Amino acid sequence: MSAHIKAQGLSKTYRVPVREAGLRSAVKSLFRPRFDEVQAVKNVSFQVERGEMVGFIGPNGAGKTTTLKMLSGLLYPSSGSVDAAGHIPWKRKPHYLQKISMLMGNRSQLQWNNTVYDTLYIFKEIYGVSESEFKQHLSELCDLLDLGKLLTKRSRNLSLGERSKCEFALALLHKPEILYLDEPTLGMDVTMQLRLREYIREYNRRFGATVILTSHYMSDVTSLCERVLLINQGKLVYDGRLATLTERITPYKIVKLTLDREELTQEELRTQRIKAELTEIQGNEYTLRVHKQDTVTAGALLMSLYNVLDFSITDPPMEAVIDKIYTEGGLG
Amino acid sequence: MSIMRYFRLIGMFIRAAIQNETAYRLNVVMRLLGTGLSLAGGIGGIAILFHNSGSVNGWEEAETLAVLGVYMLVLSLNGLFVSPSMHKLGGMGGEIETGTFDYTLLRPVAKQFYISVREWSVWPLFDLAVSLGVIGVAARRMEAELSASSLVLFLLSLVIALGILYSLMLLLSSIAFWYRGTYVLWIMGDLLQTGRYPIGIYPKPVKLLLTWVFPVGFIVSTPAEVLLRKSEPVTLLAGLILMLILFALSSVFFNRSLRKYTSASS
Repeated sequence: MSAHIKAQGLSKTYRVPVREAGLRSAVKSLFRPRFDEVQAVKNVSFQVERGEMVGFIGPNGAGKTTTLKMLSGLLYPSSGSVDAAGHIPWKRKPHYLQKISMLMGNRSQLQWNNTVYDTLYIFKEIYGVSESEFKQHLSELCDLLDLGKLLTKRSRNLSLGERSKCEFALALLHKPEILYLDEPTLGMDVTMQLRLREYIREYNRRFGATVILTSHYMSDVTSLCERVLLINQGKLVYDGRLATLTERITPYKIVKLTLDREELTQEELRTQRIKAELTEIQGNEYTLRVHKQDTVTAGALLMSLYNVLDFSITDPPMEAVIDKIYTEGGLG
Repeated sequence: MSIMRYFRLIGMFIRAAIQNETAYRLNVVMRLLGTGLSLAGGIGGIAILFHNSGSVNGWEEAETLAVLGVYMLVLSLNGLFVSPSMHKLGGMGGEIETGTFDYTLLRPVAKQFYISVREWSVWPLFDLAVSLGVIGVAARRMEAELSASSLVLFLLSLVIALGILYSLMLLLSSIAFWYRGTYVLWIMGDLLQTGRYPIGIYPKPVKLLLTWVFPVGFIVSTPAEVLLRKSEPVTLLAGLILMLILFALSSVFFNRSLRKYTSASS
């Protein structure tokens, strides 16, 4: 099966106006504006299979959104090519636009003064969804998102959580086969994030849609995507399984233990020849960082030497992994 | 896209606009007040203008009243959908500025059609009714006979007027793609003010400027002149050609500007 989305050597350079601070340079820039070229995306290539859920990760300004905008057809790339569902996105052929949907967490598609149902109906007309399809899709969406009571409400009267459900419904009404989600859970509380993730997963499962997602909440990515594309400074630095990435970046485990009294220090660890680094102490609760190969022996030693009340071994939090990549700028 | 679908969409947008406006009940009162004020201002101005003399540069009072009526008519038609749609695109807080144009660009509909007809306002219908009343009063005062042929010509001149107005608005809105944060649509409102009185009463250089550079003449005066049978057929033809040229130009410019759109960063 050929890839659903295929990007080859994708690059995008923006021209941004620059000027120094102060009144003089402000006036000068009126007559002779200066521009800097900013390479937002540099030679990025990847493929996404039909029905796959892929996460774009990377720090602010890494080029994630720019890449997403080129895939959806909003931006013309400076060079490179994209084939998405057999189309060149930036030609913006209605045929392609019918197949996709882009959801931006920071922008609304709802009509402020209209009811949710009326707005959905306008979308039905714009996307040329037939009356019978509309009925069917709507009942599916009501089922998936529990929209029932919201349909007759005006958008401006919705709570943030309700609104994001409706935004999602609007994006899915025409049953897109490709979903581009740019920070879909922006500003949501944890419960809402969890539910929205559930909708995305369910939509992907039911309709075999391809999903490309960017998010600053690592948990969005970890819970939805097995595969991630890590973009940093416009370059694709990693394309593969999330678990493998974690392993490569942080080859250690986090050991947490609670002892019956406060006795553990770094010094103590050294004299007992326990290969671990004490990273946090809170009363009699300790957090240690242990190299993967030393985890078992360190664990056994701790258990035998101290009176352990509670003990756990976990992988380092994804945020820590990402922070390491972001601050060190690569996959060292 | 079939022709029927275009019409369905327009019907849809009008419906949405009516639903939308019902959210603001106070607006009804304010709008009526606005219409009343603009009518009073226009008639008051004419009264002052003709206070001492029966005619100004060959224009009678009743004829000037007819021009005022046509001015209000064109403005109300403009306010019905051209102006709201254009302001949503390139106005202050419009889509280009806020970045919501991203979504518009992703709609599977012909873009120029979509951005031109999607926003409607129902209140200009008041102005429309009042303007027809003013034209009626003026016609009776002049004891003019309105034949079927002159009505057809008048309608044609209105189409030309709106076509020119639309093209200019589209040109001005599209500038926002190139210089984001620059609003030039308001120029149109100010320019149209000059059409409140017959172009003929202005000095010659101003008259030329208002006919060919900022074609307010074609937008307001020509329809009025057609109604008063003061125009020459060649004027209407010139207007038609100008409209076609401006329409083509603005369409090309709009579509070029779409390429320029870089989308507000998020």
